[in-house]
Amino acid sequence: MPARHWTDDELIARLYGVGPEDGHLEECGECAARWRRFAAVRERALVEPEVSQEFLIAQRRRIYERIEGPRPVFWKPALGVPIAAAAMILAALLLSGPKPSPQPTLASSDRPKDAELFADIYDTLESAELQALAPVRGLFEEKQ
Amino acid sequence: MMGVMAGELAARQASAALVGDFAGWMQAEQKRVFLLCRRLLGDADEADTATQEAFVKAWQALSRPGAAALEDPAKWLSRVAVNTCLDRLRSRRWQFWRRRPNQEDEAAILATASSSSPTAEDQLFAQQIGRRLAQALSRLSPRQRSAFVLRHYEDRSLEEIAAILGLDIGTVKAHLARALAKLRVELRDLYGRQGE
Repeated sequence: MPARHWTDDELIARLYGVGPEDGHLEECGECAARWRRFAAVRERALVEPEVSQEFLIAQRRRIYERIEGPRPVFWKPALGVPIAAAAMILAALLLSGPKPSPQPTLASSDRPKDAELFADIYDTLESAELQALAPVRGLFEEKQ
Repeated sequence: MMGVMAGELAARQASAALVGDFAGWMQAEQKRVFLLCRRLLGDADEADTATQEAFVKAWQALSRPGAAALEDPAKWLSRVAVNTCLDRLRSRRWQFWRRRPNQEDEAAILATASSSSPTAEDQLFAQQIGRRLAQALSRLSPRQRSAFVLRHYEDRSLEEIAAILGLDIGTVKAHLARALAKLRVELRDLYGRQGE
């Protein structure tokens, strides 16, 4: 009496390495043919989907970054350019800012000369107003 | 004895070569690791983060002085990635909110296959399987999911799965059997309908 044919579940289990091991597939051509069809189906399932190169490249970049470890913020190339640009803008602002208004100074030609200064003082001392005060001043001067 | 020493030396040279050309190795393995993480986590953004973590861990382990020699770097990397995903899956249990897979995000990341790959019909069929299984995988425990994904998508042998998950083969078989039981409806539909 021939052994019964394998069920689909048994054939599937065999595909995954856990099916019955009674040697039936070596003896039964019908079950062997079914098993080959099942195996062909699984072969097709092994076709790997494509993964975009852009994704893989970006992933590798992230892996390298993690392997190299975290760097100080200012060393990151992505931040280097903005930081440099900000520094240049700041320097430009400082250099091109409004200049302080010039302090008023006397030109050398506008300065009074020493002789004129003495003359002005002498004139003041000899002015009429001071002469009117002479008697009062005399009260305090010691007599020789 | 000499053979063992020669093997150890070759493994150490291979590990040193990986550190020397880590960028090339990462480029060769990156897509596979990302897809593995995406299938385990069911979320493209989370898979992106997990992939980064896996490679960072790999670099740290390989560049450490006295790093262990690797006989099979690809399998070792798979183990690192699977463990990273398992940690994330376990941490989800403590989240009272849980993000569902965003099909639109995945579609944005996963571009259509190039013309050199199998036919468009195969591609469409594979996508249908992928979508249905991705949804069904959320019903599996982290270990069951890992075992199923490594077997179904990476075509790993039971021995390799056991090595990657750090389990014995009997436990792997138990996880796979439970996973198949939980996915029975989807798998019956997929294999039964397409296999006829």
